[in-house]
Amino acid sequence: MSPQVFQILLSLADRTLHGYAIIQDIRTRTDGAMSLTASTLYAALRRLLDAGLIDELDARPDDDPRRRYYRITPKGRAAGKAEAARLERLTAMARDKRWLPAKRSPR
Amino acid sequence: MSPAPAAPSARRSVRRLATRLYTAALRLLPDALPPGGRGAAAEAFDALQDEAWQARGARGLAGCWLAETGSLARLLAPRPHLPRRPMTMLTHDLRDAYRALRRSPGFTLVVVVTLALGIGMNTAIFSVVDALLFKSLPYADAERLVVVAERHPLGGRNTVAPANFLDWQARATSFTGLAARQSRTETLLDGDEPRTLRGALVSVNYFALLGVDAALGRVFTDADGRPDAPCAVVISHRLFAQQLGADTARLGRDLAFAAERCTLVGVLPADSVFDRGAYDVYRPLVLGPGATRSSHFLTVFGRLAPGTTVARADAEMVAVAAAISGEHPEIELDWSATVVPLRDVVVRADTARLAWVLMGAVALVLLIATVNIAGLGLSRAVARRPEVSVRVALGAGRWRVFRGLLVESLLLSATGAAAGVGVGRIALRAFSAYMPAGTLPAEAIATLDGRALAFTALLAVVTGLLAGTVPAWHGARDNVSGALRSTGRSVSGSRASARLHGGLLVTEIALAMILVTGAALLVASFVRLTRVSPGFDATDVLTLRLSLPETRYRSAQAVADFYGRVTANLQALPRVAGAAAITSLPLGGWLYGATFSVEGEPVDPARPPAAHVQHATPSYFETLGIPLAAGRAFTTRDDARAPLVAVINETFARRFIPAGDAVGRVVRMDEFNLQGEDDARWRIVGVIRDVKTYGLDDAELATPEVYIPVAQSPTPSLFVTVRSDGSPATALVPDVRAAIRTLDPELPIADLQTMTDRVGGSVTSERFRTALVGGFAALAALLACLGVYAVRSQAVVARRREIGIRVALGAKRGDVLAMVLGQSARLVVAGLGLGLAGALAMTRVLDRWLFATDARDPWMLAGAMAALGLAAIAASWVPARRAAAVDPLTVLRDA
Repeated sequence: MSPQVFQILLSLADRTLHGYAIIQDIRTRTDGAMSLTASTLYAALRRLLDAGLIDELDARPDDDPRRRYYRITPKGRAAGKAEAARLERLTAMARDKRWLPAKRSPR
Repeated sequence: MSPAPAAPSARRSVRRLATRLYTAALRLLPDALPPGGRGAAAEAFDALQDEAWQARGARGLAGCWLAETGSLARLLAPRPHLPRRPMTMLTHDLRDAYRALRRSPGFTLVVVVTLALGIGMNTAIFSVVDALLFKSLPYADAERLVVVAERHPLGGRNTVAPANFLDWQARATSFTGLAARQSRTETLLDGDEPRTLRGALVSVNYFALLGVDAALGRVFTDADGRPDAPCAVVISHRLFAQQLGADTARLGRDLAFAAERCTLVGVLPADSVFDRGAYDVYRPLVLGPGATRSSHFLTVFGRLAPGTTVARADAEMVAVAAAISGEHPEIELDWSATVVPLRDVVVRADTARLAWVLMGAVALVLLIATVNIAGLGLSRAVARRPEVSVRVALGAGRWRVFRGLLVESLLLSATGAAAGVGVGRIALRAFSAYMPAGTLPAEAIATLDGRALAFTALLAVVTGLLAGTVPAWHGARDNVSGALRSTGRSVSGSRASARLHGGLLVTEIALAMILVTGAALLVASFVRLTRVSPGFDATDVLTLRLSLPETRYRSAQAVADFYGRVTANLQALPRVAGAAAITSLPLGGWLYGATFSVEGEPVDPARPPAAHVQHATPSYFETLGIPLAAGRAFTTRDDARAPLVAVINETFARRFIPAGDAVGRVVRMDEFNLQGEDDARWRIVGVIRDVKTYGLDDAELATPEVYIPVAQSPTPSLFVTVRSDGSPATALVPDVRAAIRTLDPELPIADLQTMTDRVGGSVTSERFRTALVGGFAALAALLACLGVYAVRSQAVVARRREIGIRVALGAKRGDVLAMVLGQSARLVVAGLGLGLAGALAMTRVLDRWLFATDARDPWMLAGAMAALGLAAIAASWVPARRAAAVDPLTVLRDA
C-alpha cells in the first residue's frame, strides 16, 4: 500500500470528505510533508474505488455540484488497519535496533 | 509575497484557462479517474490554485501548475499506475534466465559458441557488403561523383581521348568540374635500387574534385598544369613512409625519377583511400591544344552540379559528344559518351555479386545454426516441463512462462552476439588477408563500425526470437495437470514436440542443401577450369617485366639492341634452357591491338578486322613451349635489315585466311618498324597453336593474334621469360638479376614471378570464392548433421518405452534399427526435396561463375543430394543403434 493511499484511507477513517478536503486534511496532518495534486488524488481514488476500499456517496451535501464525496468501506478499514499493524511491526523492529528511542512503558 | 490586487480579473481568466487546459488533459485519461471524477478533479484543482495564490502569489500558482503537470505526465505515461513495473519484470526475467542457464552450462556453451561463430561471420560479411553497396564512398559528397566515359560503337565504356576531355570541360554544364587521370609507370631512383611504382598523371583539379586535400604540403594548383611549369609530384602517404621514412624535411625537395627530377609538393592523407589505391605518385596532366583525339586513355571523373541527375548529365554528354563528332570527321562512327555513378565503376558487378552470394551463404549458415538451437531449446523445454508446470500451478501465467523462456533465448543470443563481434573482427581480418588483391576496391573500407554493430544487434534479436519462439511457445502451452501427472514418467515424448523436431530437421536439411549444391557447382567448375590447357608449358619458367626509360633509350634501335643482348646474356646463363621477351604474357590480357588487312582477302573498309599485336624475340615460342602448327618461328636473322615477317595464331588463320595455306601470305598493318615502312607488309612465316589470352575460361574461339619480331618493331616495355633446364625457376632469380644489372644497373626489375604462379594467379578470384562458399557449405552440412543427430537422439529417448514394448513383443534389433533409420530417411528426403527446389531457385545467381558447368546439371544436383543425404543418415545412425540396444526389461521396469 502506497503512503498516499494509506493517508487517503486515514482521512476518510472517521468522516466522509470530498476530494479537495482530502488533500487539505492530508496536508494538515502531515504538516505539509505530503501534498497531493488533484490528478494524483483522483487517480488514487479511482484505484481505491475499483478495489472496493472506498465508495462514493450518492448525496451531494455541498453547494458545488462538481464535488464528489467519498467514505471508507469495511474492507477499506480492514486494509488500513492491516497496513497500520504492518507499520507498527516495522517500527518495533527499528526500535529493537535502536533506530528509534525506546518506547516508555505505560505506567 | 502578497497577491497583486491590481489585476484580479486578469488573474481569474488565467486561472480559468489553466483549469480548462487541465480538464482537457484529463480527457486523455478516461480510465484513470473515477466516474465523474473529471469535474471533481477540476474543482479540486481550482481550489488548490486558489489556495496557492492566497499563500504565495504567482510563485505559488506556478508551483501548483508544475506539480499538477508532473502528476499528469506520470498518469499519461504507459501503465501509469505501475510506473516501474516493466523494468522490474525484465530484470526478474533476466535473473531467472541467467540462473536457468547457469544450471545447464553445456547447453549454454554450445549455443553461445555456435551463435558467436554464426553471428560473427555474418557481421564480417555484412561489413563488406555495406562498404561495397551502401556506405558512401570515402570522398566528399561522394553521391555526386560520376565517371564520364566514351562509349564505343559496341556499347561498352571506353577511356577518353584527351582532346575530347578538353572539349567536354569547355562545353558540359552538368558538372561543377571534370577531372582526368592517366595511369603510368614511374621509376623512382631514390633508394639503393630503382623502384617501379604505379603513377598517375592527373588534371590539376583532380584532388579538389574528389574533395581531398594534402596532409602535408599541398595538392596541385593551376600553375602546376602549365606546359612550362616545373615538375611537381604529390605522393601517397604509404610511399612517404616506406621510401622517405616519413621525413617531412623531404617536402619541397626534389625526388629523382628515371625521366626527370620533380619537386615533392605534397603528401596525401595517411590511411586514406589513397593508401589502399593503386597509385603512389601523382603528377600534373598537362594537355595542350595538340592533344590527341584518336587515342583514348584518360579516366574522367565529374562532380554533378547541384540539381542535376545522372540521367540528365548523361543526356547532355550524349549531345555534347554528337556535336564534337560532327565537327571532327576523323572520329569513328557511332562513338558517344556516357555518365555513370562512381560507385557503379568502383564496385564491379562481379564484386557486388560475390558480396551478395557470401552474405546469402553466411545467412544460411546462421539460419541452420538457429534451427539447431531451436531444436536444442525445444528438447530443453520438454525436459523442463515439470518445473514449468509447477510454476504454472503456483500461479505463473502462460504469458509469464512464455516470456521467461523467450528472455532466456534472447540472453543467449545477446551473449553470442557480443562474442560474435570478436569473431567478426577476426573473420574480417582473415577475409582481408586471404582475398586476392583487387577483390575489394580501395574505396570500400570494411570495418566493424557502428553500422556493423547495429546489424549484429539486429541479428541477436532476430536469432533470439527465431530460436526461442518455438520452444517458448511449446513450453508455455503445456497443460498443467497433464504435465504434473506425467512427472517422473517419460515426459518428453509428446506428439507435438516430435512434429516440431521433425519440422526443424527438414528445415535445416533444406537450407544446407542449397549451400551444398552451390558449393558443388563452384567446385566442379573450378576443377574443370584448372584442367584447361592454357596452350603453353608454364613449368620452370621465370617471368619479369622491364621498361626501358625513353631518356636513356632514345632510339628504337637502342631498344631492339638491348632486348637482343639481354635475351642472349640470359640464354648464356647456367641452368637456363631458353630466354625471350614478349609484349604481354598469356593469360595477361589483350595489351593492345591493331587493325590490318590480309592481302588477297576482302575487307570491309568501315569495319576493318583487328588483332592482338605481340612483339616477340626469336625463341619466345620455344621458351614457353607453344607448339608451331605450320611454318617456322622467328630467328635472329629476322632483324632490322631483313624483310618484315609475322607469325599468327590458328584463330587468326582460321578467321581471316579461311582458304589455303596461311604461310607466305602478307598482313598489311600500319605498325611501327625500323624500316620506316608505312602500312607495312608483314609476310607470315609461321602459325602457332592458340594460347589463352585473357584467362583459362577464354571462350572456345580464342583471340586472333599476330606476332612480329622485336628486332624489326622494337617496343620499350616487355616481359622477359626465362626457362630453366628443369631446376626450380626461382633458383634462377639471382643470376637473372645480375645479368640484367650488368647491362643496365638503373633498370628496375618489376613483377618477378614464375609462370606457374601467374597461371595460379589467373584463377585466384575463382579459387577464393570457391573456397569461401565451399567452406560455408561444409559448415552448413556439419551443422545440419549435428542437428539431425540431436533431433533423432531426442526422438529415440522419447520413444524408449514404445521401442522396449516392441522388442518385448518380439521385434528384432534389425527391425528397430530399420524403423528408426527409415523415419530419419523420410525426414531427410523431405528436406532434400525442399532444398532442391530452393537450390534450383538460388543457384541461378552462380551461372556467371560457372565454367563448363550447368547450374541445373541433374548429375550435380543428384550428387549433392546423395552426399548430404548420406551424411545426414549417417548422423542418425548412432541414435538408431542406441534405439536398437534398448533393453525392454529396464525400460518397462523404469516406466
